[in-house]
Amino acid sequence: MAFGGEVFVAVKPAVALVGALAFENEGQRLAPACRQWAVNEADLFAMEHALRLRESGRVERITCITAAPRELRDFLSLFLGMGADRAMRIVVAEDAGLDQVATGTLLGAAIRRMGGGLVLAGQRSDDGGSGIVPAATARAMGAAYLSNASIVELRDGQVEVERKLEAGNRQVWGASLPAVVAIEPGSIQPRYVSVAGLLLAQRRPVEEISIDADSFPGPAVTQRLALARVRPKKTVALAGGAAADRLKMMMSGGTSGKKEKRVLKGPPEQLAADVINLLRERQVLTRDGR
Amino acid sequence: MHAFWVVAEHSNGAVDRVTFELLGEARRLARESGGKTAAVLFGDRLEALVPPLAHYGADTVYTFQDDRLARYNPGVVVASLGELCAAQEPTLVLFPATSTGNDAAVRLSMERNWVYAARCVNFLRKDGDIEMVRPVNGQKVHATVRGQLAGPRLATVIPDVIGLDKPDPKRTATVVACTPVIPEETDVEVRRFIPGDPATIDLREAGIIVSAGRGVGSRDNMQLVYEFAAAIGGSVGGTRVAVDLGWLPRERQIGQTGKTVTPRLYIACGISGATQHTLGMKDSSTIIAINTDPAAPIFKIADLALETDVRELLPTLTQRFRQETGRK
Repeated sequence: MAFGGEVFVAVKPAVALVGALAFENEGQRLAPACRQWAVNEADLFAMEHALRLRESGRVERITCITAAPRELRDFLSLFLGMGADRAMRIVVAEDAGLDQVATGTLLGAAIRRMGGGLVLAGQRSDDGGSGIVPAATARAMGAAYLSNASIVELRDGQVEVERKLEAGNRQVWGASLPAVVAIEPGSIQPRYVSVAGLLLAQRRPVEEISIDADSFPGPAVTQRLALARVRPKKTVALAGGAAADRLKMMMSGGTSGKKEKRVLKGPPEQLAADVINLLRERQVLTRDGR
Repeated sequence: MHAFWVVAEHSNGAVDRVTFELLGEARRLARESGGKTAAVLFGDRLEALVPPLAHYGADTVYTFQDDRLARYNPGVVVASLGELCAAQEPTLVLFPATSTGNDAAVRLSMERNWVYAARCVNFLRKDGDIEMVRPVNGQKVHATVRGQLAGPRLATVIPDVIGLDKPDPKRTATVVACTPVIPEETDVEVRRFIPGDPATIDLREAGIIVSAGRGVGSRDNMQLVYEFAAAIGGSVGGTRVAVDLGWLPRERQIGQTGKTVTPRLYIACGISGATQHTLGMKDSSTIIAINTDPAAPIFKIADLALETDVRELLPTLTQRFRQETGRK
């Protein structure tokens, strides 16, 4: 597919908690009094990557797009202030209650209709944190999906990303366009928007588009919200130590939120053996030493 | 019959700890519902990985062995796992909430239109179905998710939330060797893998941290810390005191005015455990503290406290770990 030089930044406002928690509709959603909309941090990183692509000459135009009620129209001003060329809002009813799949599907359908080739999105939102939106956007576009990207390169109709894995490891993936790249926050610093810049951006227009959502599938899940309850973590009874302590551990069902402490003294060789035994018990160090 | 599956992750020839946590959870659910557990393994050399999976609760281990699976390959993994799940119809498939697990689970969910819940912390059986509990809104709220679609439930689980069961070395598993499904066309091309170097990676990504405090004694003695870190495959960090004394660069500082880290192993060498430091490392999975002072506050949060001089212990530890790991 020919790349038209336009990159889309998918923006998903996040819900931040304020004041005492309360729920409505039998726990299906947060009460309005305890929630307010906030910028999703990962989206700022996606925007910064888009800006850097434009500065390198790989991209000509940046469009930020969201699927959100009218009250969130001004949200896009921050992205315009950062340097987006245009902002678009997919018209959504205030009581639509879109889940992540529906949000991603709407974004994907809209971007596909406009012939979008490259979409950057936050890997996960600050509220839901599921990472479904960019994957659902890719599915709706019929595009490749590249996750956990910390570096994005664009050349010859191909996008190449460096993915951030655990323990400092990286993996490089490539794909032809169209593609949706989910950006992992933290690799670069999003630029600061001055108050003056933000005020100027608020005067700029936000285009509104409508998508026929009737044919979209219904919600894949229902959910009940409640105050978080910490789950007690299992700990393995340590080999060694006093028999009474081990019995106490077993009597407690082997589950405890508290750490079992041991203070050891002795020659270095013995202490080193104790360290290795503990690490093996906890699967930190496996038999072959890794 | 209900079946609870775990998609195993492994690195450097060993199964990752989080996989064992997930097997414990799968086993609990299977025990409560009279079902079975299984682990699914992808990789290029898998024989040695099967026994530990059985010890931690897998009744069956499905293996997909292929040179193309030496590293995570989304096209092959999702196609193979999708076919296997469609044929065997497990009740719940658990993935570690890692970069690989999250990616595979969400891809499978999108491709097959199966219910997916990310970063779960608990699972409940209700009315013959599985409800998945996951934190939202900054961990203050728990959402209990119930699927509305047919097919297996897919879930990723945050590492180090559930904890480990005690392994049973007598348990064995039935091994089913499966043929990987290689899609004719894949939209993502896996180009190369860049291994992280513990000596240079960001401390927030490190799995093992060896941390130095004033008790190390001098800049020259820092060599003991670096040698031990190299032997265990860890990264070196330190307290503000160690940084202020010039023993470590500023980006290696851990604590309130430095970085907050959550490695699976934190070894505090000559660190007393002032609040300013412990705020940055207290959530580490396993903490080992070495200090001469039996009243050192670090001992209160340590899993293993060693009352000795770090300068005497480190050379012996380094030597033992070199023997264990084969690292220099």
